[in-house]
Amino acid sequence: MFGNMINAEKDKDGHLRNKGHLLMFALQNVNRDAQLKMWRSVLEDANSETLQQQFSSLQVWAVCDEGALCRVSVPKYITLVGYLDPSQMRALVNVSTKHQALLYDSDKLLKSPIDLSGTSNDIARRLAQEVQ
Amino acid sequence: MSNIYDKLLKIVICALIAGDIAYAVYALLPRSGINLYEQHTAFPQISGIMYDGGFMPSEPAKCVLLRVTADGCPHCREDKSQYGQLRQSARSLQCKVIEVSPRAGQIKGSSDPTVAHLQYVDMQLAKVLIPYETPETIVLDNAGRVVWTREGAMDDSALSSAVKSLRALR
Repeated sequence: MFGNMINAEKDKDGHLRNKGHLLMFALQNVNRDAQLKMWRSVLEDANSETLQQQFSSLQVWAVCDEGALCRVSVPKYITLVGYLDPSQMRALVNVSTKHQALLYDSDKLLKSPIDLSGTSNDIARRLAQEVQ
Repeated sequence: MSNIYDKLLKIVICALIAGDIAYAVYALLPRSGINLYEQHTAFPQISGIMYDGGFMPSEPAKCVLLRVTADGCPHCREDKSQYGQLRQSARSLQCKVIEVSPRAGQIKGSSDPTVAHLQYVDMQLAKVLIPYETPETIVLDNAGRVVWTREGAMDDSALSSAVKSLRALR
């Protein structure tokens, strides 16, 4: 239920699993069902094989805004996180107010904020552009 | 003509050197007296994961002394004595004392069982706490409102105003 980059799944060389990326988004407990439905749509219904392949090495963290009070059932490819180190949590708070998520590269460095506006297809396309 | 260029070059070099000196002096000055939070900004009841892996539940407290610090922070060593005294005053008034570092792993922790060393925080706290500068010292009342705050090392006058704020909460 808590994490930072050191808790992400890594290869022996210290890079994220399969040299993949880590996507982190803020999950509002009161609005969790709609948000999770949207993310399922982004990550499962991506309408091309290429997108699905790109997302296969993506680790996805849903950071719940109510810490220990969050009791959410998430799909198996999403890790539910309630606590982060203060700087990382603050960075996520800052981007989530702009309706964005954070994408980290395999070196665990911030790659890009991902704009969450538009349809799930729009978000999937934007995400795919960054993780390719 | 070349004389004018020489003079101009000298002026530019002098300006650059003066700028560097001013920046160095600014960087070496103990930073204090800047307040990151408006008085009465409301903090949530603080909960999180501590350095020893234990969970600190959110519980009401009579008052809270919150310190953003890191072992490698030079300004945190500058006010070690003042902060120690403030901590003692806070404890004597039965305030909760919490230390948190900007990034996980920046505090080794101590054997003092009366201080909670938080490593991971929830989003409610991160919405209010600005964790980038160390040290930050914050006194909260029983409703989580900021009654006193300081960014940078405390001097004796800051210490006495912090203690005064704490005593006013009795």
